[in-house]
Amino acid sequence: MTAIWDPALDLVFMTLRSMVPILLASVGEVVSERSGIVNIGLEGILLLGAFFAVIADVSTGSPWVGVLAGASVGLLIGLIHGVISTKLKGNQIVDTIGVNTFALGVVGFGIFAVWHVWGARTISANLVIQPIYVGGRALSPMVIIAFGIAIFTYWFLFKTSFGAAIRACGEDPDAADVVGINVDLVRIIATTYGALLAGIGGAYLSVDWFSGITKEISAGRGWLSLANVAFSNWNPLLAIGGSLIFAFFDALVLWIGPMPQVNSIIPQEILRTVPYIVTIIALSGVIKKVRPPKALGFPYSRE
Amino acid sequence: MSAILEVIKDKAGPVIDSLIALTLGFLGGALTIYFSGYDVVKAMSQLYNFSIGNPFVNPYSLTITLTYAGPLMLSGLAFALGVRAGLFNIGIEGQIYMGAFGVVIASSFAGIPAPLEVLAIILVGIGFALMWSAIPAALKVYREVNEVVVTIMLNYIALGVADYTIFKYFPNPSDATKSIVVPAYARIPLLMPNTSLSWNIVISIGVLLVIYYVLWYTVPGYELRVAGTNPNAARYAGINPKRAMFLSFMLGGLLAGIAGIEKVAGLPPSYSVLSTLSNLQGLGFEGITVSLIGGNHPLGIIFAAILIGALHAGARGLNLIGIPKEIVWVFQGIIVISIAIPNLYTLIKRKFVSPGKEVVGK
Repeated sequence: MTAIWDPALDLVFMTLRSMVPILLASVGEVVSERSGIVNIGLEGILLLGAFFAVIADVSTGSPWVGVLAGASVGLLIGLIHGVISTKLKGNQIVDTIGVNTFALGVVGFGIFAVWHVWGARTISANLVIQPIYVGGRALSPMVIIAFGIAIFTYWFLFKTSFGAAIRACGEDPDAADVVGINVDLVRIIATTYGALLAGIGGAYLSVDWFSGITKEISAGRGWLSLANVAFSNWNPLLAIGGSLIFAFFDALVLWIGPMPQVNSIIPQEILRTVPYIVTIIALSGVIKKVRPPKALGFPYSRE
Repeated sequence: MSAILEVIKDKAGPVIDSLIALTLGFLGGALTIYFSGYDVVKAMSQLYNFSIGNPFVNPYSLTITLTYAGPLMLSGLAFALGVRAGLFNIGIEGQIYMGAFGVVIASSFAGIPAPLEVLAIILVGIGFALMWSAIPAALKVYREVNEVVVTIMLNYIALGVADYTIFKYFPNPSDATKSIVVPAYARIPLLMPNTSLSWNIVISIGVLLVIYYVLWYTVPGYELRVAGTNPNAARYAGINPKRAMFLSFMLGGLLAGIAGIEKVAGLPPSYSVLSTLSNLQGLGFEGITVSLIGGNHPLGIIFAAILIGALHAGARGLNLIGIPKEIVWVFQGIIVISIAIPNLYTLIKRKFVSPGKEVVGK
């Protein structure tokens, strides 16, 4: 491999690394929204997942237990959100706004309360998920796991009868009810699965990518994931492409960071806003009209 | 008399729900403090002393609470206007950044006559915020794009654009952590000397009362509320729900602009925008909490803003005994999650107070 390709390959690997949390959170959200439940608390779940993953990692010495802890936090929040959005007929947007606020509080407060350090807690190299090596470059096994989860999710959402039930609940809950689907139950399961994936994404941030936790570790990735759901037209496979695009810009900012000559032309602060601008353009239907599930956002009650 | 009783009966449910949510929030926050190994009684007394204290002896703590409350009233009302028109306008945060950005630009005109400078701050500040709220408004009205995602994206874009431009073109020559300051003669004057309490609070309450009047005593306000409650009925009555939404977005932008002006031109000692917009961040998002606690009603929002202001003022006291101030977000998060559940009171009564007995809901 010639040296000229090295920086480009760096960018490819950085993109893959940035992709993981966005892909996991958006694939999860696709399932949740397909069932009719929106969860705008992804940013908060990433944060909480990252925080509790470090606690579990540090106390057991295994980063995989950390991932499990992140998943459990996601599962718990998903379950609560699912019940509030169905059985309790709550407002799905309001309660997940609360989740985001709660997460900011718990993590900002918790980093100091647990470890008595301000703002950041790093973990030692042996507590980080060990990478595999591809062509001499480190690659997190989580990259492969994330791809696997996305493909598996596509399969069960579009090729199994349970997936069909999920989609029916999001499109036409009345019809789903008539054919004997327990709408509330299916929605709770879908929402829990979605939040669980976001929790894994959060754990990846702390016990893998950044080797530690800061109170800003999610850095807008939850919101990007939410945007990516619409961007990928509620399809887990397209979400892989969308995540790669968002991750590319994320990586690009880090990649050109040490290049002053590029920085003077396009400042990092502005480059960082590109994914957000692209999302707005995409949602505006300039490229292609996307269509959300019909019953998205409304609790179902039998009339 | 019976009409008044009807009103009380009608409003009591939501008020009780808000009170339950507040109780749960404070309980959850206190438990978090307790289980993290802090002295919870000491923490609660710090919270009280630094937000209220004994105002008749020394009103200082209370002035801090009211200082926080002023801009919160506006960001809360901006979100409430969205809810009233059937929208989730999460974009107030970014509109405040843009408003503050406008104030910084207007501050660079320093040297022009005072009335012109004040006018420039008002016009450019509000103009920038309106420009930012016009984007989701137009996308919602003309292309039916969901406002939640768009406004969140716009918040991040505003952060990048404002932070970069302010510190590239309007940095403070003597302090790298802040922008140029608002010229002294164009600042919002202090209400009480030697405190941070400025006329902000009076302006905010005034604006709230005006919006209250517009919403409940004018035709466009009525149309906005009807369109939000029942768009189909509105259409049947000849009201255009899209026009109501547009109005709601623009009024929200106006309020965000005023909030930005208050934060930069009316808050000692900085009178500027701090790097990474740290003195603006969170104000728009907290408006959501304020609005929800206040039942999305202008009068409720006054009380809710003072409450959240008190929480922030009190957090200074917590910081002194080693409790990170972020704990206020734990309180707020639990409050908001609880408010999302409708008829909380009925629910709790049914589940816990009289198990097995059916309570007739409203």
